[in-house]
Amino acid sequence: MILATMAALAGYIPFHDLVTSDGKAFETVFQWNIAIPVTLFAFCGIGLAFVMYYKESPIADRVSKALGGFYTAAYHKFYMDEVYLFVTKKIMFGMVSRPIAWFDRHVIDATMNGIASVTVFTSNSIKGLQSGQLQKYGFVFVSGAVLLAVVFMLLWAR
Amino acid sequence: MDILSLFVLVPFLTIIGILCTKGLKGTRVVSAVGMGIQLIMAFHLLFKYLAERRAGNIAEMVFVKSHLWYQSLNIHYTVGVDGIAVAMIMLTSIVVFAGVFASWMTKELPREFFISLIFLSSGVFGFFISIDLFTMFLFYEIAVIPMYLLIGLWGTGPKEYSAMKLTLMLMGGSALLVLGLLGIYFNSAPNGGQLTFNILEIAKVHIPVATQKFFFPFLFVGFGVLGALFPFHTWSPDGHASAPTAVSMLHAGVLMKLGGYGILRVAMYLLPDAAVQMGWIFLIFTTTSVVYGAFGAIWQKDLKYINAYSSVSHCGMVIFALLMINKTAMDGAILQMISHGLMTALFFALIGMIYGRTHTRNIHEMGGLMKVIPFLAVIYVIAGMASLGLPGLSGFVAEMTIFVGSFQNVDTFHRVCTIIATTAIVVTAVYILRVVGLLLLGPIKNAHFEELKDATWYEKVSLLTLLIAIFAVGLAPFWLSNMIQDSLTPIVAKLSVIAQ
Amino acid sequence: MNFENFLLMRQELVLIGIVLIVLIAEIFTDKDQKGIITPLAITLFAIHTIIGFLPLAEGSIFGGSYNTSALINTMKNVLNLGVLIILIQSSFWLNQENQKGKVSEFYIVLLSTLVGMFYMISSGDFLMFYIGLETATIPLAALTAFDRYKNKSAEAGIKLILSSALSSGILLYGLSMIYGTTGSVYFKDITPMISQTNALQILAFIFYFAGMGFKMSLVPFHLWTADVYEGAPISITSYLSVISKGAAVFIFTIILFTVFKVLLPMWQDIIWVIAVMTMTIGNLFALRQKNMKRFLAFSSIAQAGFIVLGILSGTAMGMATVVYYILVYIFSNLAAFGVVSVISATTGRETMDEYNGMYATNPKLSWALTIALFSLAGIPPVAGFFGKFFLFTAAAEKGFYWIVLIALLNTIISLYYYLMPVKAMFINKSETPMEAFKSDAMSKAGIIICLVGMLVIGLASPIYESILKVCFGI
Repeated sequence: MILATMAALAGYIPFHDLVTSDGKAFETVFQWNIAIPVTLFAFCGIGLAFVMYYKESPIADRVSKALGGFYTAAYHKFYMDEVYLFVTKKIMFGMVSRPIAWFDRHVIDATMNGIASVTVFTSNSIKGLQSGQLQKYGFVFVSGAVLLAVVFMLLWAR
Repeated sequence: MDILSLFVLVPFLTIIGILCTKGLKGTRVVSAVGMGIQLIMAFHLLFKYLAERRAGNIAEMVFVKSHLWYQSLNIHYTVGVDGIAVAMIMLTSIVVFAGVFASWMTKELPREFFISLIFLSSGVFGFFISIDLFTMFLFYEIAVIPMYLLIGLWGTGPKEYSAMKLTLMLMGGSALLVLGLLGIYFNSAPNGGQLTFNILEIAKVHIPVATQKFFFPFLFVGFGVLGALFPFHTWSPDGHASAPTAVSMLHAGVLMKLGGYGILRVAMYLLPDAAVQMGWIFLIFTTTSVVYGAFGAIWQKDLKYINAYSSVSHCGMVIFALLMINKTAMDGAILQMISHGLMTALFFALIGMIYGRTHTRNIHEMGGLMKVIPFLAVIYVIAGMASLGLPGLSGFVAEMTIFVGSFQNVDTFHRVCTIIATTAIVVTAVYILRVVGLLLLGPIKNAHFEELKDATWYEKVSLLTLLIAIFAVGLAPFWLSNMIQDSLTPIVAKLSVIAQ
Repeated sequence: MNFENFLLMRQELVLIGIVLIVLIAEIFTDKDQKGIITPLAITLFAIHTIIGFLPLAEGSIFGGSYNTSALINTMKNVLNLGVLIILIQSSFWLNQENQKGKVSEFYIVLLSTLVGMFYMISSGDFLMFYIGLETATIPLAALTAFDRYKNKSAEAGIKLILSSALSSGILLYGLSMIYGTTGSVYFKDITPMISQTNALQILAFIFYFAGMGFKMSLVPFHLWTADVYEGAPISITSYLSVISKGAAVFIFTIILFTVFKVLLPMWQDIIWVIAVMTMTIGNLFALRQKNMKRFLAFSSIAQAGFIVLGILSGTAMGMATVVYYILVYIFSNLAAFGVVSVISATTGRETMDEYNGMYATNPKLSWALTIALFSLAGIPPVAGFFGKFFLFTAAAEKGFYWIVLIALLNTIISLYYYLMPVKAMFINKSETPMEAFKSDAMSKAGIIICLVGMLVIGLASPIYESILKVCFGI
């Protein structure tokens, strides 16, 4: 009730002076050709409801039977809820989000982890190069030098 | 000491102050005082800046001070700000201040925690005030490296793994940055003369287009890693989820904005031809970021992961708007940086407080919290509204500006990208409202939760600071927007000349 | 040649004087007075370091065999600083029971190698160069085997002397071929006679490169590094890793920029390939290491890869960044080795797992090691960041962007393993953390000097600028 009173009185507060986007009062024209029919519709609705439900009467049942399927659909709020749930649960969650979440964890993350694993794998596989054997060191030293020499002599001393 | 360098000096002094005190109490008081001073200084800077502009100073950067550092390389310690930088400094100081209060009860090694946090923030402040590329990069690195200890020591969950992944990926980004910066430096004097690292001077020269196109990807991706550009965003979910509260707040709220700021100030401003010609490639990636992050967030069950993916999406929007290369969109990008920074800091603070009470972050294990901890729950709802763009809060201002600006590009490619990105708004609404419903409404799932206490005074300080800022930007954005737009003028001018 | 010219050899003369004084002190002191040797040696060396900074005229004596210039003097000063820190840091270990009776030998032999290095850097012909090189190498092998009671030490000594012999042999072979094709050993005479198409000269150059690559631990000449660093006493390891390497880098740069400047395009290619291999292989091996000494050994190999990047460009800036980075590297590496040696000497813990939870008991040492590792990794605001950045700038100056990219990616890999000890100390928990201990004054002083150096050298620009002033390029 309190809300209703406030709603009725709120129209008298001069909002157009208080809330503006550019500092000037917001002026509009009151559109009578829309206001009157809309208000009349509202009163008709109230009247119909009064007639159908104020007293016990079979009018409501007859109306619902006459409308048939349309009534059932309206009763179930035009299946809006089911449509909404279907779209979100099946489509958004199932077909878009779940694959995206999976993709993120298993493809992108895996790539980053994979780069790390490749590095570690390479590190492990070349560990044999540092064998501790002096003869091998000498061999690598000399062959490294000779290889470099051969390559660069061929490249430059033509 | 000039007004800008104080922003680096005050954190330094705060750290020394912390070293001189013992125990949790002294540490927190010193940190709160230090960061409080920083916050006041940020507001002071804002007023001084606006006064400068009103007085008719139309220089690109004001309060410029320069000290020669390395003569042979022409490296200077040069500082200066424009509207965008001032806005970012304000964001940082608000978030750090809130972060200090959100970490009030850090019991383990509190001194080291606050020192690392403040050291990190000094790097961020230094980044925003620098206009010499070398100093900018130096501060950028300082802002990244404490993350390893902060997450590895004080984090939760797979913290060592997350900390290492975050550190290595962000350093990977900065490795690419070094290459880009050196490329710019050695091409900063195409007509002879001295090479320079100074942004303003480089902006005046025209670097050959082929060179620009070689280095632009390095710079863009280098900064983009920090700005959660797909597919380099994967450090973000694990990193934010494992980090302690204040670190998540600071990182998602501020550090990820370093990426966007860097892209604007360095990659696009200094290499405009490449930005215009190659922008479309990266636009595909950012659009993917926006949508990917949003959809990824829906599937998550852990609160922090939801917010982390949400941050990927919103930060993606920042870069998305930047690449649209018109004034409105870029204005929106910066507004989004600020708005999202505040929002995500608020979210992470709330999540941290909720986690501290319920010891779970799984949304299916919690419910009906509205009855038990009303203060936190209400603020959570408001934060959620801000995130999905309710008018009156900052998110709306930012997103509206971005999409209006993006739609101004008439070609099909940009329009299609914009349309795809707008779907993210709806998706955001889905995951935000779903979480709010699961978490706060309905019956209380766990009997233990009935004994939870509501927010303490320091938590209230932290949350209200951020909330007031969000409302301020939301209800009266024009002073901020005008400040940013004035500073965007030279950047947009340079880019539009080429876009013609 | 008159007396003033002779005094151009001031650094070497003072050093030889110190060696003689220590020798005399050794002979004329009784057994229980031997404690005086260590402070004597360190004080004398400190005086020598200070004298080194006094200005020295340029010139050459002995008919051009011995050169001195501002650049060469700067290089010697850098090495002096490093050796001073090593002497300070080694005093604790040296005065323990195991080393009784050998203290003065340590100083005499070590300083003799330094004399050899100085002559090598100042050389004006290949003969002086080779004499200096050998003087610098052979006594080091003796020092490597200093630890009489450890098998590993003797093994390291044998490996070092045999590997050095092989490398010196190949180096000398190359030098002899240069003599054969040019008819002289003097740098001044050789330089105009080097040509890019003379196959024998190219072969000789490669052999010279191999010999120097051995000292600098470049791949594929690096295999001795890990075993020798691991077996030698830590002070000698630190000496090998910074001073021996640094001296080799210095003279290598000078000779490449003067004698072999005609071959610039060729040795740029060679350095390109070898730098990439060195960085990569050094990093890949370092990833796996758990023993701290071996870990630092492989990190040194990777660092050598970064250092030669500076030489790549052939400019004055390149040389300056190399000298600067050696200075930074000395402080960083000696800080790391200092901490490791103090821990090893006091608690005997040598592997990374034994460092777990160290922060709880030894916070200051943990921070010291962390800062040193950050400097090696190239993280601001410590000097390592500046050093690395300048190296990359020098390489990028001549357009070598791809190798800079490879180097940057290697920096990321290196960051991973440099963070491993940090993780162990700060994050990992341990049932048996290191016991809290106080190090002795000398070791503390050594580490503190390194820390101060690392923090100051980067931020204070005059140091780099003064180095740049004396450098020259091609």
